[in-house]
Amino acid sequence: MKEKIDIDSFKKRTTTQQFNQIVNMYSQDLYWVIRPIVKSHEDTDDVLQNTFIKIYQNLPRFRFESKLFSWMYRIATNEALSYLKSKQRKYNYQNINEVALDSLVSDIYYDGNEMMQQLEKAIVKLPPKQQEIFRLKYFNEMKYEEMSEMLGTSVGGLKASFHLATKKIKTELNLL
Amino acid sequence: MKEQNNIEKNLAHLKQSYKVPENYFEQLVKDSLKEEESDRVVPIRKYISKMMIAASVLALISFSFIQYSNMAKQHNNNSLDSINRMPQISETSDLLSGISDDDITEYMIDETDMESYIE
Repeated sequence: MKEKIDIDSFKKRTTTQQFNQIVNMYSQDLYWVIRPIVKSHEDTDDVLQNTFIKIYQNLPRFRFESKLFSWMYRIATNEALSYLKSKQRKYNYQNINEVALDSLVSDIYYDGNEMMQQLEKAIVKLPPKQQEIFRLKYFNEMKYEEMSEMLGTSVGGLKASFHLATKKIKTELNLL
Repeated sequence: MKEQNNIEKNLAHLKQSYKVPENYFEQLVKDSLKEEESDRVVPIRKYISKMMIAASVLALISFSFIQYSNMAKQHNNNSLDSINRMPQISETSDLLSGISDDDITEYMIDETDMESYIE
């Protein structure tokens, strides 16, 4: 994902001004990083708030050695996974995928049909890396080149992973 | 190949089944701006509260000091009163007033008697 802000002018601002700019520019992108992981809107809202708090706290220490969005993407992903893990411990779930799927079913802001729900179940069974590629492609609408830059994987590798993932989903859907 | 395309088509519609409340992102931005305003207010509040604490401490110290000095003054007055209440002795001769020389000699031992004591 291309940086939406001019980094040079961004550096000259105060932390609070930088933070407001981030919320303004990246809240939707970060929302769509978190939502496919935690699934429900309410949980996404909680995780997004936590993500913004972490961003605000760590912004003065960010050295711009990596891209700003890549840095925020990592924070958002880690926050989402930590949130699911804490919910898994709290409600004694077997794994975090169960937590996410359960909250999806009860989410009033989800209207996927039976086919979509089966697709969701098949996606959460994929290995984490393949799930990540899926999320970035379909929820963040990212191109392979952008993904490659962010994840440090070659475009060829990403395409191969994606192809393998769709094959697995197809097999899974036939089994369901 | 047809099934593969079908899956891809469904995946493309995956995001559409996730709804977001109306004006959610606009509200998020508004809230973050409110935070900024509260950030500006906080130092003023902190300054005022610090000033209030300092004033309270100062008032407490002043009050204690006044109380202490009042107590000391009271104690001092009490001491003076008790001194004033004591009988005043102006001269030593007062103690001897009313005793005549005869009375004194009456108690004196005769010299001859003294000699008998020495022997």
